[in-house]
Amino acid sequence: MNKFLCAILLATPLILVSCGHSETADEEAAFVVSHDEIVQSFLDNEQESSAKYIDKIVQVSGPIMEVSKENGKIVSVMISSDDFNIVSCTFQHPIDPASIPADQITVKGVCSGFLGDAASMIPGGTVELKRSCLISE
Amino acid sequence: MKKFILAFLAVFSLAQFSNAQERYFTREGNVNFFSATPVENIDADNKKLQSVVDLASGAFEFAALIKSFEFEKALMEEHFNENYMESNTHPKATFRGKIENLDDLKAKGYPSDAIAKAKGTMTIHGVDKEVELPAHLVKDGENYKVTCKFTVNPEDYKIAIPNAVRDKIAKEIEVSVDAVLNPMK
Repeated sequence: MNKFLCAILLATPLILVSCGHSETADEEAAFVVSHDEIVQSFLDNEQESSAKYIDKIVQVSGPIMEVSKENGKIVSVMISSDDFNIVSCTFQHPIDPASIPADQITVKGVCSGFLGDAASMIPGGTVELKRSCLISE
Repeated sequence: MKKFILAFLAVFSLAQFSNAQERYFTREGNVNFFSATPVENIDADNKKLQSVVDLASGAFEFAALIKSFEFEKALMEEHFNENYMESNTHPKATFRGKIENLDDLKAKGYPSDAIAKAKGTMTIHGVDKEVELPAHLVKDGENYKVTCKFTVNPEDYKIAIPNAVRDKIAKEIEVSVDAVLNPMK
């Protein structure tokens, strides 16, 4: 029994170190927001919004601005209605283009922050979600 | 007075438009970092690099969120953010500078074998450092492809590596930037 316990104690850190990421699709969203709402929140108060959203699972809906493909599968999507204030999502698993709706989309992902700076030449601001998954309406 | 304001706005808009005409950008560039040691290789990708070049002035910049780097192993990603990069305090890495030899590149038609000397300020972990990056800026149809490889020494940016893991993290981290810049409309 002692040997068994020792084996478990020794194996646990190794298992933890080699573990992948949990599936976002299996997790519940901490926030459900529109694309406008979350971008505006960061534009209004980046510090407060960072504390609220970063590392949390956020479900966002809005119009598709652009999708990116790799090997025929969709790997990321940008959600925006004005091309400047954007929610940019990378998918945890590549998605079949046929399963992407034509205009409006809802995705859930881990918020990694906001890129937007008045001093930058890049206009607008971008909220980024990683390990996203598509939500079927 | 009204005429003056209208004339000013027209000139200002024209200036903005002509600036945009010379600017090329992306919000979907790739940045990868690779740390190689005999003990372990660490590899992470961020596919959301933002980058822009102004071909009128030579201004060139890129920016990436630290938390958008994705690792295969969850615990490695957590350590990277919490213990080394302290990404809650320093969420972004940026480079802002200028391509010094832009006229030469322009004259040659931005060939793939020419080096674009990008000189400017790299900010990582809240620390600014003056650097010169050897980039390639290649015309590709109506777009420009930018690639750049450089090394980052964590000590230069006050990134503390604990003794316990020092042999698992390379002294020089290899960073690769790869982006297709589209005309800014």
